[in-house]
Amino acid sequence: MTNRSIHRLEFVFIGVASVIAQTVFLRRLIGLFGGSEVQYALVLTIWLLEAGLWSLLAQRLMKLSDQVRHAALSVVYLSLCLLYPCYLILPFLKSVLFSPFGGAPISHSALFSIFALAIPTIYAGASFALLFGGFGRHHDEIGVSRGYLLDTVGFALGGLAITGILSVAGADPELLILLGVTGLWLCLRAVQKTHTRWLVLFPMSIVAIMLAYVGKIALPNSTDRERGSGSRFIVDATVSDGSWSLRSLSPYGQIDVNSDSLSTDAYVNSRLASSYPGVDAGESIVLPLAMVPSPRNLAILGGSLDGKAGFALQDTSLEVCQVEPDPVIRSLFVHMSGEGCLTRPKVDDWSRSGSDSLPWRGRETRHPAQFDSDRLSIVAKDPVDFLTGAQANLDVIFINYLDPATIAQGNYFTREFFELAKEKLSEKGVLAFSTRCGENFIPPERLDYIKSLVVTLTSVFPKVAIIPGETAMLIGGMPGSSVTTDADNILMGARVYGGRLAHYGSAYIEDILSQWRIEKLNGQLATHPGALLTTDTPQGFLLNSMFEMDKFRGVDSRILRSLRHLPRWSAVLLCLLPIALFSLAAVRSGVAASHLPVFYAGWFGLSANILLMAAYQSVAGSLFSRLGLLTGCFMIGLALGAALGQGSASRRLDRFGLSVVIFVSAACMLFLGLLLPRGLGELGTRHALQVTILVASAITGVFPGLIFSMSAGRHAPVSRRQPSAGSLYGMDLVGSAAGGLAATLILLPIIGVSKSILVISISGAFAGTAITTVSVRHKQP
Amino acid sequence: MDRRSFVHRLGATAGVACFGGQICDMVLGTIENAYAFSYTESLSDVEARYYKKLADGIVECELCPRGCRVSDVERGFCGVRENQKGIYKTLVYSRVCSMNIDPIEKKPLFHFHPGTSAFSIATAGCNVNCKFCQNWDISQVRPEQVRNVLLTPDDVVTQCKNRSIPTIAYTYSEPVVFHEYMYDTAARGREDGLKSVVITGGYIKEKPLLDLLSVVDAVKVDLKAFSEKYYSEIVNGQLQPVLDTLKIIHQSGKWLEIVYLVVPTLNDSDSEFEALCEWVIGSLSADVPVHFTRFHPMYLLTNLPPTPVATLEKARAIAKKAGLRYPYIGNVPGHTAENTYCPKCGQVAIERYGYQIVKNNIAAGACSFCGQVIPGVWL
Repeated sequence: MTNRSIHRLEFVFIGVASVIAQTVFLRRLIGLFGGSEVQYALVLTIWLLEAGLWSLLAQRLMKLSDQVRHAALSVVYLSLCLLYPCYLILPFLKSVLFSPFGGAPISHSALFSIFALAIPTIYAGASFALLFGGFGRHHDEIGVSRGYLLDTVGFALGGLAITGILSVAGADPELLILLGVTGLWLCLRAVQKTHTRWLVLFPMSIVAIMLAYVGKIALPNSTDRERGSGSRFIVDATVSDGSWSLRSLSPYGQIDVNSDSLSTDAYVNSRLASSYPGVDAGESIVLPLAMVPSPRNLAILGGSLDGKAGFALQDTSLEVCQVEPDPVIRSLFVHMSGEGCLTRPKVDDWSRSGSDSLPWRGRETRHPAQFDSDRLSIVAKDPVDFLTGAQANLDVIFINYLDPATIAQGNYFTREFFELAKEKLSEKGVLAFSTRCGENFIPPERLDYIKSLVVTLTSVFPKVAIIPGETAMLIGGMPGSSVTTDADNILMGARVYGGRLAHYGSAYIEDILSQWRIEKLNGQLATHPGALLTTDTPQGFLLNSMFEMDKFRGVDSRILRSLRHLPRWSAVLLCLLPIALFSLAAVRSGVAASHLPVFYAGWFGLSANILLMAAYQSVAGSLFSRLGLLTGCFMIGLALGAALGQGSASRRLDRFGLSVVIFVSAACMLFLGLLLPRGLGELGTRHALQVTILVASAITGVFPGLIFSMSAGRHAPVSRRQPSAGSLYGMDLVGSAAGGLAATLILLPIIGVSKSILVISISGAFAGTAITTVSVRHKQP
Repeated sequence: MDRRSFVHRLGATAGVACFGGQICDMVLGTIENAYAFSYTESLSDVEARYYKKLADGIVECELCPRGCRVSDVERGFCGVRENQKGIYKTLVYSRVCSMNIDPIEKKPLFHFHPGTSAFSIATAGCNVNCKFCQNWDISQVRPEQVRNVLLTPDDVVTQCKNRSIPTIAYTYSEPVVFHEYMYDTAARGREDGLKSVVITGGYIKEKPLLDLLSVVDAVKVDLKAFSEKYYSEIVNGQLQPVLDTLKIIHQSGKWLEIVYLVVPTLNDSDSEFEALCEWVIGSLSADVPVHFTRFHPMYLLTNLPPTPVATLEKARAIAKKAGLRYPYIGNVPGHTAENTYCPKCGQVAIERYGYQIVKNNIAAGACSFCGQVIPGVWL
């Protein structure tokens, strides 16, 4: 194998290793701190930013002697060996610094991530610059644009590989060990460049790992990790005498369940979602049921573990359909439904002679009969899919997501979803959900959110009621329903539950429905305008999830909270500012002009990708299960763009070509921004729209690849006055970080998906104009 | 501009951006505070009753053991009492920020008119700072930061009479900080036959406590832990004054119940349970009900898990072994330890589910099975 081939292979390996390490550490950190989009964007941004800084630093080393450069390259390769220890030590560090239970404020998790990603980003950031500098520049063996092309091909291959491996086994450590082994080999090679025979270790390691996986799959006792079961998402589980706990990264976020022989607490995204036995009982389902004359069909969407289905089954005339999209929770629910775990036992079935008579003491099961019913069906579908295929005979649809923390869950609280639900309700049916409200005092942010929910519900349903409490319940009813806030009427409707009511029983129900409290809440809501929540403008639930994270007033929380109140125009200006300033600098300076296209490429690429991700979730479902597919399309586009860019660079077509490409990218985004709002409103055509968004993702990937390669190609004859591979690569990553942050924290929550895409289009106009002007003024090579 | 200067400028820009971010944060904080303090028109202007004037216009608060010395235009620790030109004033008289009708079992008071409702009111402010506070959004803020309703003592009594509610409860935040309002309301309510109950942390001086006991009927005290260390680190207060309060209440003959919130890893040791029970029996009475309640992650302690039910059962078992006659488990709806058991015959005297009375087997203050007198205030 020639040196050129080896170097090319190494560029591919950079991509593979980077994407594997990125995915593994992203999963790990989100597992530790929670799985909302904000957390995801935070970790990704820190990753890109640190990788970019390492790349810029590596570029500085290029000026030094060969010996220093090789030493630096060795250190970079050795950093691969440290991935596994880093991976192992992170949970320990988190438990020491914060707590093994629950989440940490967003400011703390950001600070933690900065340190946690310091080592994993070394290789991804610095290797490109050092490898190119060490082998490409001096020996003219490989160009920047070709290196970038191979790097992106590596990204795509790595993405595919990790998707495949994780879907089979979900084993992060083996991947990191593999990277460590190859890192050692590469380190040796960096020191002794001619020892190419060591290369054989690379395929051997891959074969060994594959054999291990095949062996694991073939083992007869490995059925607990079979495909499609929730158990394959479980990353940590412990069982001791009478207690067990698990942590999993399901497609819908991080699930933690801690259980002892008497109580069980389930956390979703580091927040306590249900606690058994707890004061937040499943009885709240009785309120919407009481507002339907003789209900027959109940659908509960999500949140299976809180016992609502079990309580509803006490009504013997009721058919209950529990829809659970999350495979981990579904798996727990299915497992426990036969054993009655996690559900409130019937009051009259309890023996009351002493604590020793608790029905679940000393055994895993608690009340086998509660879920063991032919009238209960469990549906493993996204609620949108379920409702699309459901018959229009549902009497009660209960959206069981208290305070949605992700876009996927937030989409169930939009006008489009309410309209879909309305189509499936019977003439007397109701749609209901709860939201945290505050029994004593409701902060202004919370009032804003609740009012937005009321406005959205009112826009769809003719009858709307809001019932106050620590968790207020909002109910929208069809014309034939008996939606009311009158306590007597509700008690009459709930008579089937009779003496089994606890918190909503005769004492408490009058309190919770007291006229004074209803008037008080409505009076407070009247002072807030509220906004109509739609799939295109998901600001309501995004801001809500931010509010949940920053309510304890962390250092950066004030900034986040204040961002919510930014006028739309100022949010747009804030996001355009970096590009505008960079463009201005580019017009004045040749070097800045060289960096502008790659910065724009990064900015454009990641912000567009994140916005499309949000749009995709609006029509397709959860974040993690779709992430690989969407990112894969983007990466394919990126590799294609890099290949095209390399061809054009070799033909010196880049004088005005670069600005033309930038303008075309802006025009494409403009077209997409105009097209998308129409599609997002139509959930009925969601499959076509999914394909459209995937194609759009691939197309938006072409432009950054093309721009980077063309930009690098312009500077092929490297001189001291021209930017080099490392600085270009670093600037690209810094641009990506800026774009990701702007899209997630500012654009998406404040102005919605489609308008944000238009903002990206405007940024392209800035950059394109600047590059055109620069081309004329500076006569770049 | 060459690459070096470009990188330098980039670094400088990043530095300026970070610094600017901090400045923005400060500015935004100022704006936010201005926004938060937007309800100033609702503050009261009533002179406080327990303070003494010192030199130079300074006043010393004599309401709670904290004994704040307050200069002109400053406030005490509680944030609801202000020195205005040498006159110490309460800012929350008749300024109610929370008002609900609760079952009396929610307080919890298990031996006081079971099955009845209580008109529950609170103002902003608190004289301690518990890291697990469940009502931190009203207790840990100043009165300007919440929306208040003007509700005079007469209004409170009228509300109760209109709804046939027999009891007024001063609860949610810390009633000690609105002592004047609480005293006047309780006294006014007594004229119309209404009972008053106080749900407090017990961090109060003797004089105001004795005055208060003359107009109220029952007190539930949150004994947060049985160690000074816990009170110092988690509560920002002291244990001894609370123990003194408990003794005074018990000696006064008013009905007393104690709640002990069991927080995992912080106050859930066997030795602490044992010390608590021994003290209650020795200094108060074995008939004082003690509720071991389940902690749920809240406020600044969201990093801890909810208390395992087994820990609560262990605490109750220790209490029973020590000789307490009425130990309960709280915040675990449906648990059998919510019930009141007759200490003589062991039968269920009052059967509860959550805040609901399922069955009441107490007649004329005695167990209907064996006639054993059950201490409490019964209908």
